[in-house]
Amino acid sequence: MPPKSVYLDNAATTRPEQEVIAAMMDALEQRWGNPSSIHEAGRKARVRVEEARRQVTDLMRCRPEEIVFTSGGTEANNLAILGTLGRVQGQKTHIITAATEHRAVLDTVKWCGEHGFETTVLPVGSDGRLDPADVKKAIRPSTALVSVMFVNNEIGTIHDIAEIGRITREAGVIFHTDAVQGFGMIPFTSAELNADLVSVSSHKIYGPKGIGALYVRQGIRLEPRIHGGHQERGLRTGTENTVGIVGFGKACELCREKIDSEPARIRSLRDRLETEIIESIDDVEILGSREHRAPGILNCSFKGCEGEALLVGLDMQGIYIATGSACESGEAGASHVPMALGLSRADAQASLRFSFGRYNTNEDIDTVMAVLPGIVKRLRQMSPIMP
Amino acid sequence: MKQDRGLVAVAMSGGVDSSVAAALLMEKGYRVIGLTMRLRADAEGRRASCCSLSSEHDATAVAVRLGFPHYTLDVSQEFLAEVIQDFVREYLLGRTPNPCERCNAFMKWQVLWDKAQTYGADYFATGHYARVQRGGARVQMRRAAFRPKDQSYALWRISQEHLKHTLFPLGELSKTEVRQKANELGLINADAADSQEICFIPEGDYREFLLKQNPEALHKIGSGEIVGPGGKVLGTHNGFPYYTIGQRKGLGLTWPRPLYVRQIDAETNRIFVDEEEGCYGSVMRVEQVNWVSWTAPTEPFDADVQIRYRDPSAPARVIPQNDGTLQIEFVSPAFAITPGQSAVFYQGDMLLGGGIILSNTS
Repeated sequence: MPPKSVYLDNAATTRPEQEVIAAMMDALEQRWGNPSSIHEAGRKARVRVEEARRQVTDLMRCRPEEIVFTSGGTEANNLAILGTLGRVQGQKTHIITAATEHRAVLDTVKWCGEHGFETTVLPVGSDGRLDPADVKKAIRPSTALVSVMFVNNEIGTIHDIAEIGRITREAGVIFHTDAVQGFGMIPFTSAELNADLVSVSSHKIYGPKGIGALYVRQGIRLEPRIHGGHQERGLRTGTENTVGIVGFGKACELCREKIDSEPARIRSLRDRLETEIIESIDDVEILGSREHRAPGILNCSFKGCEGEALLVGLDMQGIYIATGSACESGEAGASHVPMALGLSRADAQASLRFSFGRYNTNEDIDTVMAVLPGIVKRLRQMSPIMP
Repeated sequence: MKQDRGLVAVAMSGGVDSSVAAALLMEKGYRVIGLTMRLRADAEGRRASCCSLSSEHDATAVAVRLGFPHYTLDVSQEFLAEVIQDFVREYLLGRTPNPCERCNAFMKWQVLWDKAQTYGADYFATGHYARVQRGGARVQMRRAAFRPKDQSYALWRISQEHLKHTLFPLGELSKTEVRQKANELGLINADAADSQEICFIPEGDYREFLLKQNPEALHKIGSGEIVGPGGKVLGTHNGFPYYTIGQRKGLGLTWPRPLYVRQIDAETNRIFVDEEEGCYGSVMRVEQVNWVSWTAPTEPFDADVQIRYRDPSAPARVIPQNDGTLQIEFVSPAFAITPGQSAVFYQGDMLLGGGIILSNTS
């Protein structure tokens, strides 16, 4: 590995903050009791779990009893979708989602489709955005749930969640949003989203892996997916992951402290890289809406290159980026997101995601721009598509 | 700082041989990247849950330990088309394929090397026990110095263009030396057993595999006659693809002496069996010929010819034909010449070229 690496894959995961690690170490050493135990060791753990819950709600601006800790974003999405469908009555058999959702939602919806539910997967525009009017049109009397992500993990497109939430509320349909990507980067309150269920994750905001949460708006009832106890109001039973929860809480607290300044700084880094790529490399297409886009994500298609080869070329220079999402890398073919935007398979496979985070600097962009144009040029010379 | 000898892509299976190959190249001053093929995926493109995933992880672990980049490439579509479907097709034609040879030629030196070049690789290396010799007009291939592990037999289809870029770091080493090296490096797979079976049939039963892959064809073929010495029908079999030439076990026949499969007639769905002496042949025809250390000869020549992986080679006369095939005449008759298997020609250690056995008659 080269002496200094540049990490531009913050949408895949982020490096935990030192303060997060310290809080977790303290929890391991001092708060190892079972939070459900009545004695002092249990109480000490319980207090920290509930403090952490407060730290999460301070960022999401909701009530502590509206937060259910899960093992992460994927479990939160599963609980939201399957938990809703587990509760609905006979005629409510229809789910609506969008083509560019994360696999944690798309695959769950697909599973529902194979198990007696009707599903509608709405297309998005060439800018990656879902038209709320399409949601309105797709809602039927039998619709139980609409699930649309807040920020797309591959192209950063921000969906008009508040408007979709307004529509679903008017129609009396439960609305879930997978907010794993926007969380901590784009300020929102759970109420502003008009959502009934919101999934968030810790490891995208400089916290540990293996912990996340589902916001369950007061009054919304879910069927638990895991049975065996009373924890998390019976919605996610099993002894609490105290260490993870504490780390997640601390990560939320740090995010809240920085949320007024950090996104602007990250946006300026992202915009600088985008400008320099467009200026120095021909035939680049920026994917998704540039107006409605999360500050830290840049996805470009380098026509005539294979994204995978670009990724490897950059990796060998110590620059870490992604083609599509980490969850899709290694799978055959192109990611479903650029395909949903209407890109050809070749252009979809030529796309790279740069995702910025807290530790990135202007120097990182210098490093990328010192090597990226050369790699693109080399690959285009080898490409059968581009002469 | 060591001299940079260029970027070499090492095909890594996760086993000890390719791991040590990568380590040796690093020590020699090459920059190394490891490439592992993901060969099987289910219909939806998800990772297969079979053993291949753990070998993938073994390769990654070795790369992380030694400090070079490693990538796993999903080549399941190509593997299905080039190796598995060919394997099934060959059996259904009454031939006995060699999937390892095809995987080398059509996966490693084709798909992987193509990929490696897009990553900027100058060389391609594997953990095969074989040797490349440069310097002359052609790049030559030789058997491994450690003859018991020699794998050159499965490498005859490599083109000159590919061989120019090929490195076999284990060519001079014995298996013991390789294991020793792996232990010194603290590699997790140092003492793993050698792989023996066909990698996509971990249970080892190719018949079951064929049936799973193409039940319709096998059902259609149905049962046929087993014909013994002198043309006498000795029994019935349940489909010729379930048999290979030279097979003794599982025939279920009563005969004073052991019987072997001598010939498979796909057209009439008959299996011909014979006593050992009847299964020897002196002549065979070879197709799909590739010349490695030699340019294509036009005149007959003498060579040692190897007709299966674990066999020694036997002296023969190789006679080029006008249609590009070769007629091979063994000095002493060879046992169970099997269409579909590779025939590889050597002079001493030098691999001259090879081809696929088309028939065991002239």
